[in-house]
Amino acid sequence: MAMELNKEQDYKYGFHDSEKDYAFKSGRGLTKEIVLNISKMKKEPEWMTEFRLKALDVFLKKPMPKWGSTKLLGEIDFDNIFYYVKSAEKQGKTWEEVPAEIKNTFDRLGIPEAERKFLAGVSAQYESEVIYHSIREDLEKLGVIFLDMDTALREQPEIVKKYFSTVIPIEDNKFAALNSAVWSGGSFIYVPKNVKVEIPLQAYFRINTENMGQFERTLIIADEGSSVHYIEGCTAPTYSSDSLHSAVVELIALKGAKIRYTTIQNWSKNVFNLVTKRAVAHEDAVVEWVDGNLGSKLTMKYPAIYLIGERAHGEVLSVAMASGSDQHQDAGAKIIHAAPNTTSVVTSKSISKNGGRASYRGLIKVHKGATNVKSTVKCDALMLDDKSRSDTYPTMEIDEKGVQIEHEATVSKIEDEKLFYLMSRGLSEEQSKLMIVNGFMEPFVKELPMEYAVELNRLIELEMEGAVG
Amino acid sequence: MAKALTEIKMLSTALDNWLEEKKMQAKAAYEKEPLPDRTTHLWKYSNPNDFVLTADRSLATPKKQIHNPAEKELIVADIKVAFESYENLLKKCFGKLISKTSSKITLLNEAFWNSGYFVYVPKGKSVVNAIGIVSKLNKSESFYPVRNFVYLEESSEVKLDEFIHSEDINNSYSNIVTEIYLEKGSKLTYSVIQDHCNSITHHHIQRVSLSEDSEFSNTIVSIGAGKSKVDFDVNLNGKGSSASAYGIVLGNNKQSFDHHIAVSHNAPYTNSNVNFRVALKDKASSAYTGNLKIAHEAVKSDAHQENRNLLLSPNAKAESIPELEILTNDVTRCNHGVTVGQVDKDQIYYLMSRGLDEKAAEKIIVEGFLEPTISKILNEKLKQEVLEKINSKLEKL
Amino acid sequence: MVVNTTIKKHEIKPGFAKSYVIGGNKIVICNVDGNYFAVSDICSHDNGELVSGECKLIESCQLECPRHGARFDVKTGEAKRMPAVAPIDAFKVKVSGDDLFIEID
Repeated sequence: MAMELNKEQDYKYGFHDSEKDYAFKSGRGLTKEIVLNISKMKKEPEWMTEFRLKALDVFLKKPMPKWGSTKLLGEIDFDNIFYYVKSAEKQGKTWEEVPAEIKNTFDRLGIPEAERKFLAGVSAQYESEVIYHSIREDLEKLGVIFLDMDTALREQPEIVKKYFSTVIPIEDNKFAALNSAVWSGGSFIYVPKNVKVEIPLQAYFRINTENMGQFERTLIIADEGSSVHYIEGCTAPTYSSDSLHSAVVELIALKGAKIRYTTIQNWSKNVFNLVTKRAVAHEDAVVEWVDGNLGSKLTMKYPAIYLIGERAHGEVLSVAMASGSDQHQDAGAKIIHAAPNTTSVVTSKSISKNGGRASYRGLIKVHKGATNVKSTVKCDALMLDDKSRSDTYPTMEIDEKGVQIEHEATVSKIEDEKLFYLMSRGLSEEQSKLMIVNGFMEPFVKELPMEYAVELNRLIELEMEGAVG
Repeated sequence: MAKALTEIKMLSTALDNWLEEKKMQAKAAYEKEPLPDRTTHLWKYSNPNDFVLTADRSLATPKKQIHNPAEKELIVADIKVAFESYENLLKKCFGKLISKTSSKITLLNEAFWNSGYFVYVPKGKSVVNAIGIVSKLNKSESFYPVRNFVYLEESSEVKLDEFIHSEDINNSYSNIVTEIYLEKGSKLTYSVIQDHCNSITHHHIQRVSLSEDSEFSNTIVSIGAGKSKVDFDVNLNGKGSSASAYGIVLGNNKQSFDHHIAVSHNAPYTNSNVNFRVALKDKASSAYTGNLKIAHEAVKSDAHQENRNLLLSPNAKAESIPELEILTNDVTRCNHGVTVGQVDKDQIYYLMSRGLDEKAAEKIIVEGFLEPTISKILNEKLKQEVLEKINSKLEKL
Repeated sequence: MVVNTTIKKHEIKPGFAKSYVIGGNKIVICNVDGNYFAVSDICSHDNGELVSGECKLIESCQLECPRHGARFDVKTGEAKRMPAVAPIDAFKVKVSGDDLFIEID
C-alpha cells in the first residue's frame, strides 16, 4: 500500500517540508500551458496531447453537477489547485521524525513494519521490492502486462490507443474531463486470452511512480476467457494535502472474461474524492466492483457496469462509512442491461454516525431487447445516532417486459433487543455495538483478501471507539 | 353569522376583487416563471411543456355532480361561493400549501382556476356515509383549471370519493389542485378515480397537512388520459399522525402515467404506508417517483413504501425511483421495495390449461397482481367501484 | 407509412443535421455528402434530445450527444460510443425532387 506525500504543504500533524524538494510543480490553477507541459514532460504521442487539450476545453465548458452534495462541491476552488506534481526521488525521513499518533495508528491497525515506513514516507525503497520483482517475472511469463499508465502509453501504444477512453469519453462528466486533461499515474493491465491471474494485483506493486495520485487513470483489459483481480487503496488513513482527487477507471471484460476490482479508500477529511468508474462486460463476462469508502470529506462514486453481451453478469458490493458531520459518502452503483439473459446484483451497506451522511445513489436500466434480465438490489443503512443522515436514491428504468427486477432498502438503528441480548451475555455496550457493526459489515469484509480484512476490522474497531480522528 | 351557502349566488364585490387581484398576480408570475428543471426527478419523466397553457384551448368548467347524503352535517359547496362564508379560513389557508412547492404548473392553476369543491367538516362531526363528487369534462380543445379545498376540524371524520372522467372529446387539459387540512384527531378517507378518455392531459396536485393524531388515507386509481401526472405531497406535521396512499395504475396503448408521491415525517410517532401497483400493456409507460423524508425530530416513525410494476408487453415501460432521506436513526421501521416484472409464463399456461383463453388468463393474473393493494381499501363501496372500473379497463386491454 | 416532411433538401447542408417534429416524433435529418438519413432525436443513454436545433456531424456520419458524449451512426442508428449502448430508431429517407419523404411506422 502506498501513499504519496505532497511535501510542500502542512501535514495534519504539523509536518513541514521544504518546497525545493520537488522536481516539478505546476502553478496553481489549470491552463492550456500546464496541460501542454504535462504532456511534454511525459513525452507523450501527439494523439494524447490533443486528447488532453480537448478534455481541458470540455472541462472548462461543462457546468458543475446540479445533483449530489452540491453545497460541498461548491467548496472546490479549481483555481487554487496544483494539477501536476512530479515527486522527486523520495527523500527518506527517519522513523524517529514520524509523529507518535501516526505510529500509534499503525500499531493499532497492525500494519506490517515494512509498510509502515513506506506509508510514513520514511523509506523510498521499501523492502517489498523483492516480492514485487518476483511477481513481475511470473506475470511476464504469462504474458500479462502490468504497468503504470504513463509507461504503458510509451511501451504499449497500440493496445492503449485501442481502448483508452472508449468506456468513458471526455464529455462524460466534468470530472472525467478534468482527469482526461491532467491524468497522471494509475495502472494499465492487459491479461491475454485464457490467462487466469491467481494473485490479486495490487496498486502498490507499481513502484517508481506516484501512487495514490490525484488524477490517476486506470485501464484494465481482460481478453477472452481470462481473469484478474485488482486491488487499490488502503484502509490505513491516507494523508493527502491534495484536496481534489478525481480518478477515472475503465474496465473491459471481453467474452468470457472476469474482472474483480477492489477499492478501499480512506482519504483524510480534506479530500474531495470524485471518481468515474465504469466497466463493459461482453458475452459471458463477469465484472465485480468491491468498493469500500471510509474516508474523504466528500466521495461521489458510482461504479458502473454495462452488460452488453448475452449472459454477462455484474456485481457491485459497496460499503460506506460516514463518521462525522464533516463527511458525506455519496456512493452507489449503476448497472445497464443492454443484452438478453444478463444478471446483476447490487449490495450496498452504509453506516452513518456522529453527524455523518451516507447516501446510496443507483441506477438499474434495462434497454429494450434485453429480455430475461434479472437484477436484485439490496441497500441496508445503519444509523448509529440521531445526528446522522442516510439517503437512498435508487432509480429503475425498465424498457423491456421480460425482466425480474427487485429493489429493497432498509434504514435502521442498532436494535435494542440485539444489544440487550449481547450485553446479557457479558459484553459491554461498546463491545456489543462493535459486534453488531461487524456483523453488518461482514458480507463486505469476507470479500477482501485476508490482510485487508484484518486491517478493516481493526479500523472499524478504532472508529467505533472514536479513537481515530 | 355567514349567509347559508345556498343563498349565495354571487360573491360580494370586495371578495371578488380580492380573488381577481390574486389571480392577476399569479398570471404575471406564471408568465415570468420558466419551465420546471427537467433534471429533477419530479420532471424527469414528464415534459412540463405538456402541462402549460396553450393557445388552442379555451377556458371551461367541468360538469359537477355532488352527492352529499349528510347535508346537515358538513358543507360541500362550490369553492368560489365558499369564500363568502368562510372568508377568514380561506384567506388564511387557501394557496398556502401550494405556495410551498410553487412551479409554473401550480401558478397556472392559481392564475386561472374557476371552479372546484369546498368541503368543510365541523368539529367533532363524524359523517358515516361517503360524499361523492363526480367531475366530467365535456368540451374539446378546452382547459379546465380546478381548485379544491378540504378542511376537517378537530376530531371530525369523513369519506370523500371523487370520480373524474370525460366524454369522448379531443385535446383538453385538466389541471387540478387540491389542498387538504386535517386538524387534530380528524380523519379523512379520500379517493380519486381518474378515467378520462385518451386525448385528455390530466395533472392533479394534492397537498395535505396533517396535525396531531390525524389520519389520512388516499386511494389513487389512474386508468385514463393520454398523459397524466399526479403530484401528491403529504406532510405529517403533528405527532402521531398517519398517512397511507394506495395506488393502482392500469395503462394501455400509448398512455403515459407519472406519479410523484412525497411523504414527509416532520413529527415523532408518525406513520406512513405507500403501496403502488402498476400494470402496463402495449406502449404504455409509468414513472413512479417516491420521496420519503424522515426529519431529525420525527423519532419513532414507521414508514414503508412499495411500488410493484407488471409489464404485459415488450414495449411497456416502467420507471421507479423510490427515494429515502432519513435524518434520525430512531425509527421504528423504514424501508421500501420495488419490483418490476412480467407475467409468469407458467401461471398463464396453467390457467389456459384450465380452459381459459390467453386474454382471460392474463386478466386473472393482473387482477391477482393488483389485489393486495385493492384489499387495503377499507371502504367497501369504493372498493367495489374500483374493482368495476379495473374490470372494464382490463376488458379493453 | 411514407410521410411528406415538407422539408426541402437544401435546408440541411452536407455534413450537418437538423431536428424536426414529424408526425409527433422527434426526428433528426442528416446530410451525409448529399445523401439523406434520419434518426430519432432521442439519445438512448439518457432519453434527452440529441440535436434540438442544428449541429455538425462527427466523423462525417455520426451524431454526438452534447451531454455525455454518446455517439450514433446516422445511417443505421447504431450506438458507436459510450455511454450509449442501445441503438436509436433509424428511418428511411426518400428524396423526390426537392422534397424529403420519410418512412415512419
